[in-house]
Amino acid sequence: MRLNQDSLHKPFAHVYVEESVMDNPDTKEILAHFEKSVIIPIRHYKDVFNRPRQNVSLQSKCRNLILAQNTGAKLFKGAPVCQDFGYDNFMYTASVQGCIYNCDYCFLKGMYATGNVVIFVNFEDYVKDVLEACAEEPLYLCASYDTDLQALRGIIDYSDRWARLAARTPNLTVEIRTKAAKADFIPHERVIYAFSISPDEIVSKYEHGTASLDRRISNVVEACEMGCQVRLCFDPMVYTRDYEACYNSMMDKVLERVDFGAIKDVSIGTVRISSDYIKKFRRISPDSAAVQFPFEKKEGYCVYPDALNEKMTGLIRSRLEGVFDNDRIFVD
Amino acid sequence: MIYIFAALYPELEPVIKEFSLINKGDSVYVGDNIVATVTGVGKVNAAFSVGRTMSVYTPSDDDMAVNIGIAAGSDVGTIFLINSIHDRDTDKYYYPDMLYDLGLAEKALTTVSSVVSTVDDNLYDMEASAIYQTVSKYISPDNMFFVKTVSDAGANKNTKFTPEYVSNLMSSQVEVIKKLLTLDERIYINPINIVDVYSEKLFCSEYMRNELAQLVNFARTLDVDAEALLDDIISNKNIVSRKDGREVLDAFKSRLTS
Repeated sequence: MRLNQDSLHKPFAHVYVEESVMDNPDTKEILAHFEKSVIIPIRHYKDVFNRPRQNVSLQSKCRNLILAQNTGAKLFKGAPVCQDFGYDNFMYTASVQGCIYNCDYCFLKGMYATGNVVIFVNFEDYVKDVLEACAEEPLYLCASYDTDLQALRGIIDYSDRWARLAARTPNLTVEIRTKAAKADFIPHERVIYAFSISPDEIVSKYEHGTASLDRRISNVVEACEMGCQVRLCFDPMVYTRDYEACYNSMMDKVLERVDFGAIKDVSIGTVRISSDYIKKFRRISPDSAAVQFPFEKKEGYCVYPDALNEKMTGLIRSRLEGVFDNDRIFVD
Repeated sequence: MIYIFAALYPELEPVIKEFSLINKGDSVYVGDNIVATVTGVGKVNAAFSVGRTMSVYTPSDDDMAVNIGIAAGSDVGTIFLINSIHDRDTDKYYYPDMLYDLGLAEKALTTVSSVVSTVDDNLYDMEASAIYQTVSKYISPDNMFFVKTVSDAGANKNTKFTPEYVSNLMSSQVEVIKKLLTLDERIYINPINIVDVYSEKLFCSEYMRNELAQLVNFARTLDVDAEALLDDIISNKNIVSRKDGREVLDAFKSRLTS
């Protein structure tokens, strides 16, 4: 592990742009935010994104940006480990791959060979596929699955575009999940803002770069006041030796400030990591207790022992008792 | 460790002198934390020499590889860090990761198989794509650096390529190597001796030993003194078999996770 990282570039010091999208309006809009960055024309994003042996950990500290068009699949069935909230037609889309945040337990670290972020600027092709997928039956679409679209609002407004698309498409419900500090919402019955809520101890140790607990609660309060559909995700809960104190203190703050009458639903879950990725996670984050935990393997995932899982999720459930309708609490 | 590759001896000469590298034969020069190789001109020579050096010195993923040298281009005398390499013969592109700010201007480079007579905004050399391809089998792209000084604007521009001319051009690249050496300061994590000690005390099988190592590392991430905790668990036990060791291991895990 290299010690001297004083000479690292600032994030997005380099922007790789596929030659075919150089004149795309979104490309131009995005590049306008990076006037000091070095622009490197490329033929295909995978030449950069999929290079072997990339140092994901180092890239996460000074990630670069790739602008490209996605000519492949744009819609995917939701993974079994994801909460489907009762929707049959549950899919996700990735108009952006990679996240500006750096959460130790994030599945993106296992899924992608890189810490860089690629924005696909052929957004209209995504819209076309989504409209086809919801032409016959209602579609529940996670739009901020492989990234945090709200966190990218300063660069590209995809989060708002998905929200507006849902607002004008009766068969489409969009979920936008976030840990971002930025707060701008489009209130609509078919647009769900899902806020990941974590104690500050977890934020600072394992969710690098994300908003503080107070900031996230403020965003929840603001979204509720605007009349948005708001989901609270106490997920993933991360074990620490004093997790009871951490999560109880977090719940004190949440219960004090959030009007649960305005909350759509709540999800609760503990960390789970695909067994296929666990070695890679541990190599990338050797000092993170979040991934070094001695997990048990169950149905292809590394999970906490049942007893611990129940104690942790039970803690949140018990704090919500009498405050929030049990039928609208989803536990993984 | 930094592995340096240059096509010609005059390209490497300033580095050899500055760092007092010793000739080890086969065009390889070695010093403190540096192994430098003169590869010869062209992709075949470059791939062969890089492969030979890498198989002899067996680099780790954290080591760095630097291709230094001259290139054709329009800004004669200017030094560039290469951010994109195009192999003209295969039409393939390679991208060293641009994570470190070395304070150098950047350019794209095209590797060709014969000397170019005219240039555009790109730089041109005859080895970089082969060096990237070969080095990438051993070293990650964030640890690859391609540094080129523009020597001429094409073969027909009547530049005199004397060894002195090339060495003089290359002298500024010595500073880049010095800068890279400052990056090459490592954290060496000591082997976890505690695992050796306690796997013996607990009669661990290989599987149990791996489990113990994982738990000791988890304890470290929690700032828990694994040795003290293990001693506490062991203190009232008489451990004479693997079964006893298993019980200790389970208790250790339980104390760390509940």
